[in-house]
Amino acid sequence: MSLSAHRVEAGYPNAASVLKEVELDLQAGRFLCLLGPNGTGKSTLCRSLCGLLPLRSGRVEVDGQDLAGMRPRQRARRLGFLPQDIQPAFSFRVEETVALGARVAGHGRWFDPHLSEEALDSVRSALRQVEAENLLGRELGSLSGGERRRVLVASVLAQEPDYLLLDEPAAMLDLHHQAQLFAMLQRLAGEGLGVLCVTHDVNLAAAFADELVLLHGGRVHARGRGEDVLKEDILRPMFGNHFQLLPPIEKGAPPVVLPAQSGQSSGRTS
Amino acid sequence: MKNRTSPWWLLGILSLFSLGTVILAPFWGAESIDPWNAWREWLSQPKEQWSSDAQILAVRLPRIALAWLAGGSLAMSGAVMQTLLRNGLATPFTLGVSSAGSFGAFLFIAFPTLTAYTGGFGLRLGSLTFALAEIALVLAVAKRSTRAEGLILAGITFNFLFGAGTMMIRYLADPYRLASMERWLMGSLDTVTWETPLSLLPWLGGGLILVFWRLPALDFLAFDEELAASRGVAVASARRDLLIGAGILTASVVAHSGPIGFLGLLIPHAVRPFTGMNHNLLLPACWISGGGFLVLADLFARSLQWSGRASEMPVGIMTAFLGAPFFLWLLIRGRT
Repeated sequence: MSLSAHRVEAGYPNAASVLKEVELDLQAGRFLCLLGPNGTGKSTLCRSLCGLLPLRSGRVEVDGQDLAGMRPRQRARRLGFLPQDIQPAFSFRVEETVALGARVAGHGRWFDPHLSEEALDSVRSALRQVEAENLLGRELGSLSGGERRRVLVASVLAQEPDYLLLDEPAAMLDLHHQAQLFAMLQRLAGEGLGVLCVTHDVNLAAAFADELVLLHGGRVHARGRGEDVLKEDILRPMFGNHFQLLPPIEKGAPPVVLPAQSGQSSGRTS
Repeated sequence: MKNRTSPWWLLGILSLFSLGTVILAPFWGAESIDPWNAWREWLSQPKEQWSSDAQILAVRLPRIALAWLAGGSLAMSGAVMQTLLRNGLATPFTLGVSSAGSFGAFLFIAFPTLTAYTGGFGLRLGSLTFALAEIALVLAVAKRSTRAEGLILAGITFNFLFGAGTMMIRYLADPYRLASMERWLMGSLDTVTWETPLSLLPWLGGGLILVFWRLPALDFLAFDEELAASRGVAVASARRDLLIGAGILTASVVAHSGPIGFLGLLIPHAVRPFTGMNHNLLLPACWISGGGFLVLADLFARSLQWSGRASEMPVGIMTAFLGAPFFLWLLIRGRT
C-alpha cells in the first residue's frame, strides 16, 4: 500500500523540467515531510503526485495502479491534496467548506439544496479529527490562521482519502499552532493515512515526521530520519553556508538547524 | 450551530414574491383594470367579446412573461459570472456581451435596409449573433489562461472594442436614428405579443441546460480552482461550458430587451447571504427573485407618467432606481 513516483519528470509549459527523475515512495501509515530550498520542486512534486500536472516522463502509482489511468473522481477518493494558497472568492461557512470534501466521498448529493444529515455527520466527524468541531457555523473568513488551516485539513480529510498531500500547511502559523498541526498529522498517520507534508521548518519536520525527504535541484537528495539526514555534508549542497547546525537538545533527538547569521559560516554539531 | 434559513422556506417565500408580482402586475399601470373581470374574460371568452379590461390584460401578459424571463435569466447569469470570475463585482455584462449585442443591434438600427428585409427579427438576430460571437472570441483568447484574470482582461478588451464600434456607428448614423439607439441602450420590455417571450425561450433553454449540466462544479470552483481540480472537477471544460451557458442567457436577453443593467449584480448579492455558497439553492433563488424584481421594476416604469413624455420610462432606469437603495442597504448592513 503506497503512493509512489517512478523516475518522474515534470514541469510547466514552455519551461525546463522542474522534477528530474524523482523516485519517491509514501507508504500508508507513514508521515513524510518534504523539504528543500525555494524553487526546488516541492509543490510541483505534490501536484504531480495527485495528477494535477501531466508528467513529461515516468509514472505515479497508487497501490500499484497507474495514476494516469484513473478517472479524476476515482483519483480524488484516494488522494487528498491541500494547496498552499487557498483564497475562496466568497465567504464560506465552516460546514460548507468541509462538506465540499464530504461530497467527493459520496456524502451528500450534488443537487441537495442544503446539507443532509449524512453530509453533516461526515462534516462533524472530519472536524472532530482536527479538534475543530466547535467552529461549526462560523464563517471561514472570521477564523484565525490556525483555525482556518485546521478546517481546510478537515475538508480534505472529509474526502476520506488514503493519502494526504499538504503544501506548506503550517505557513503563517504561530509556534503553538504549527506544533498542534504537525502533532495532528502524526496522529492521522498513526491511524493509517499516508501523509506527505511540504514544509520549510526543518526542526518541526524532524520532531514529528517519520522521515524527511530532502529535495534539491528537482531530485531526491536524501531521505531518512532527522538524525540521519540533518548533517552538514547533506545540507551544504542545498543551503550553502546559510545554516547553522547545533547539537541535539537531548540524547537521541535530531540536531537543530538554524539560519546562519549574515557572514557566518555553518557551524558543526559537537 | 446557527442554521441558515431552511432552503424550502426560502424558495417558498421567494416564489410567493415572484408569483405575486406576476399575478398582480397586470392590473396596474397607466390604466387600472378590474382583475376578476379581466381574468374571467381572458380565460373563458373569445377575443372578439373581450372588454377593454381583458384586452389590456392580453397586452400586458406577454410583457410580464418577458420581464420575468429576462430578470431571472440576468440574475442567474450574474451569479454564475461572479463565481466563475471569482469577483463580486462581476455582472452578466462584464465580459462584453452587451457591448457586442448593442453593436449588432445598432447595425440594424443605423442601416434600415438590413431591417427592411428581416423586420424586428433581424435586429434581434444581429444582436444575438454578435453577442455569441463575442463570447466565442473571449473564450478563444483566454483559452491559455489558467486564471479568471485572463478572462476578465479579454472581456474588458472586447468590451472596449465593441464599445468603440458602437460609438462609430452612432457617429456615422443618420442623427434621426440616434434616439432609437439611445432608447435601445436603456432596455425595454415593450412587447404586446407572445412572439417575443416565446422566441426567447429556446435560447434560455439552451443556456439553462449548459448551466445545470455543470452545476455540480460551481461550488468547487467558487472555493478554489486548484482544490477543485484535485477533487476531480474538470476545471477548464466546466468553466468553458458555464461561460457559454451564462453567455447565451445574457446574449438572448440583450437581443430581446436591450441591456437591462444592475439586476445581474444586485440579485446574487441580495440572495447569497440567505442561500450561502450552495449553487443548487443560489441559482434557482436568483432566477425567482430576479424575475419578480424585473416584473416589479417594469410595473413602476410603465405606471409612472411624466409630463411632456408620451412614452413610459425605460425599465433600465427603474432597475437602478429601485435596486441601488436596496443594494446600499445591504452594504450598510454588511450582508454582502
